Amino acid sequence: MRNLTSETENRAIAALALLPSFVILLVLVALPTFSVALYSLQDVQMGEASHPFVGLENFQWALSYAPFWNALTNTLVWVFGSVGIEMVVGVFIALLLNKNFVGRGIARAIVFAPYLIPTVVAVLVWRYMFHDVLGVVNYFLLKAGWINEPVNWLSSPKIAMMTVIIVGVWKFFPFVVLAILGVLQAIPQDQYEAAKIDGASEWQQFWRITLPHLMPIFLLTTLLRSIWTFHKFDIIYLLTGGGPVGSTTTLPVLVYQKAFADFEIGRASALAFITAFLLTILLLIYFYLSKRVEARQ
Amino acid sequence: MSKSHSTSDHYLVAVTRLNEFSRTLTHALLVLVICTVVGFPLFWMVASSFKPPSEFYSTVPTFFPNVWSLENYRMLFSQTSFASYFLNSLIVAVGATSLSLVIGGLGAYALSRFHFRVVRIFSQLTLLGYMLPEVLIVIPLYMYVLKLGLADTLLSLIISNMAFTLPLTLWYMRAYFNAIPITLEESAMVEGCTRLQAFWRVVVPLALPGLVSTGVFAFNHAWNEFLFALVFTSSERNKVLTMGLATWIGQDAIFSWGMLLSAAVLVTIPVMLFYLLVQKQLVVGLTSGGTKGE
Amino acid sequence: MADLELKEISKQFDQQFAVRDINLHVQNGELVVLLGPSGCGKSTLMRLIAGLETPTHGQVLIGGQDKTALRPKDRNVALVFQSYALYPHLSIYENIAFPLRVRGMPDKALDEKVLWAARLLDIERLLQRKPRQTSGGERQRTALARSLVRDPAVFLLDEPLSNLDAKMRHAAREELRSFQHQVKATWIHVTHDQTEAMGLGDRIVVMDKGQVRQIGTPTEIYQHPADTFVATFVGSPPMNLIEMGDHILGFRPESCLPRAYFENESDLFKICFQLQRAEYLGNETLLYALTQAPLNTTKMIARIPSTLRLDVHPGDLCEFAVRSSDLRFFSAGEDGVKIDRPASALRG
Repeated sequence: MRNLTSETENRAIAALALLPSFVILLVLVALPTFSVALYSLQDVQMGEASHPFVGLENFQWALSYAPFWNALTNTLVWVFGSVGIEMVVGVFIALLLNKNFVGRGIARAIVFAPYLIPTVVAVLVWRYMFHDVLGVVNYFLLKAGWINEPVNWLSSPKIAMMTVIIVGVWKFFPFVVLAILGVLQAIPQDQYEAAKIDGASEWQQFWRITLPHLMPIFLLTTLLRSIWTFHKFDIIYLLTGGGPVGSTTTLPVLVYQKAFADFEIGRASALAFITAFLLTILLLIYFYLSKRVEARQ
Repeated sequence: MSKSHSTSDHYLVAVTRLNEFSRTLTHALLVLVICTVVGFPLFWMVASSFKPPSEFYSTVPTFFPNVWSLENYRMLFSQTSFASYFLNSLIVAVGATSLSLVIGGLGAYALSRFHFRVVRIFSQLTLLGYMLPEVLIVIPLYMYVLKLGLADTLLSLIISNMAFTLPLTLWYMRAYFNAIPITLEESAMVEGCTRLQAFWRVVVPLALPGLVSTGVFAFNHAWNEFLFALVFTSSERNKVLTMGLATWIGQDAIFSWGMLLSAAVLVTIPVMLFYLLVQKQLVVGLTSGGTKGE
Repeated sequence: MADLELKEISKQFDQQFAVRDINLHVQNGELVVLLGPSGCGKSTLMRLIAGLETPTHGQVLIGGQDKTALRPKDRNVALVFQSYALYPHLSIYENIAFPLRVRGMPDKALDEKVLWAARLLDIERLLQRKPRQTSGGERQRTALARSLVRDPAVFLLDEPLSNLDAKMRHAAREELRSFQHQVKATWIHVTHDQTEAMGLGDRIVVMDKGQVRQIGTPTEIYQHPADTFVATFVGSPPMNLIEMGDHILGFRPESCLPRAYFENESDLFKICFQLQRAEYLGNETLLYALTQAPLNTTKMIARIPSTLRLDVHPGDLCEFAVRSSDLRFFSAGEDGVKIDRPASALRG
């Protein structure tokens, strides 16, 4: 019995195996992206059937919309604040956890735990801890004499963003630890041994051996964390809802409010697009900077 | 001369030992402090959940419950729809995970074994999926959901979660399949298997650890997912855990903190269990790429 | 068992030919070795025979039937990979049983067959182990057992000995040969090791850059190489080649012995050289030298068995000779082909 030639058969099998994935990603990722682009150019209201074309009107509205600029500022503070602290803390802790010691497994388990728990749980616990009356944080600070009255962690416009950053760092820094640990464990030990014989101090070893190995992953992790932090919605929304008085409203939260509280899909889409665009610029800056760092090595 | 020699040697040894000791001590202290700071909220959550309601409102918080009590847990199940939320979350997570594993597993196999140009482009596009913000795609997805009459259904959540679990599966499993030597399938085919039989009998058993890891990641993602649940479901009947907890948070006058914390503990348990299951493969899988052929 | 015929087989990848115009007829029960350096196309040829690749051109006939368009599973060939390709998640027993299970053979018959093959290859005691718990040699025998249970028409082995350490290789070579005889298999053996090829093959196919250079028995290949590639690839140390202007002169290192050794023989070709270095290897001594007039100054090697007493030192000028009948002639240029003694050849 003659069968199909192997090449044709191979192509058919590959196509069949990939088709479902392709279709689903088309529908869930590609198509929505185009739709948002489309909506941003139309006047789309939830519940209204007609979507008249309005060109760049939504974008113009966005640029003159004060809460947009407020959200942009908040987003930048949120991203730089969170990611900056996460990276420093993450590298430091990774270095500590890299050495062999008794109970290392438990220590690692504890350190990774925040990343694994659902965001809503993290928010719940921290809200409880930051509660102005019932929270332990205020209790300890008052007892230690570092503050005189309970702090309004989540209800004071000046402090709320800082609180949000603290919770964000606690929740997501383990990712950095994980990534950096992976690299640290891949650095061949004999490089350190050779350096020790040559008389290098701990700091010199770090600077000349560890750091160059870390650099690529460090930059990549910073990049990934920045992208994901930029887009984060649930942790902020659940902690503060964007308040008080919009002090923690970042761009994703603003987009959500416009779309599902005000039902203005067209304008929300324009905002979403601007968010994605801004992120692209951020990415380009990162790529430029990372190339310069790599060139210097 | 030998006498002064040995004295300075002793001195060096003593100084080195002291240095090592102080270094180890500093290290241990730092690790302890960090574990305490990082772990405290979770400890606090668990310990508080076992406090009877009366202890919550006392002005002096206690580390451990004076009275260990399951009152909060009891109230959680008797007074709220927590059990129903739990079940819904389970349905969504299991649904999205199994679909992703099957569809993504087959797709990842194709990406790994076949190198046609289209395939290469496709694999690069899947990475793009991860770069998009949820808020961006949730808007049009909601419009589609409305039009298809899938508003307020668990099915809409199962499918939409795949927007993130599927690229994850494709990316991770492709790397995993790449590490399984192709000679094993070829050998199976020479010995009488069709391509599909070779895949099922030889490749899948070897890829099982990778599938389990991916499954756990996907499950956790769907279990913790919030935005889609917030937008797509509204009725009490279809709420998942993240939604349920979220609505309660703002209403802590109605629902006691004790109940909230007990709910938090229960929501965390499945995720932690799965983590323990795959923790060995977590770092290993990402760095070494899975099994060796022989 | 069946015979195997390859007609005009070519395989192109993009613009490159991996193999080109291969013609080969392997008789029923014959052991043929595909010999060549890496990249010569021998592995590709084997995959073409097995059906893991389809030829761009040409036909594969097994037992007289055209199997070119058939999938591997329908060709009834057995292929033992260099890495043995044992399934790590199955026991040795299950590995051997695999082809039979795929065919749905009933358990009782399957069990008999597996035990028969295991006994033949002396691995019965390993049946419950997993591949990672066995040694290289044991894995190879498992792979052979697995091929055997199907009664294939042709056995294909891809560098089966290269994974074994040097000591084991000798013994394994013996075992493979006796196995092939016992089973009366049509056998294609791929290797880059010319000693292995010479020791095993009924016939050897020497390949280079996708093409066949020569097909012949070990004697034919060694004594009458078809071109300079075969002459230098087979034989260690390789045949000495000396440029003579319009042709190339060749002679094997062991043919070059001290003039005195030949006593009164008449048809000799004299070679005068200056010794650069002598390597004493126990059973023989290799003399690394530079040829002197009337030949062009060329590096050469002579091979003297230790049974012949010799007293030479680096720098000495030595008078050696080669029997005329041991001389070989090739056309000038790269990969010169074998020619008859040209008129311009030197005498004496």
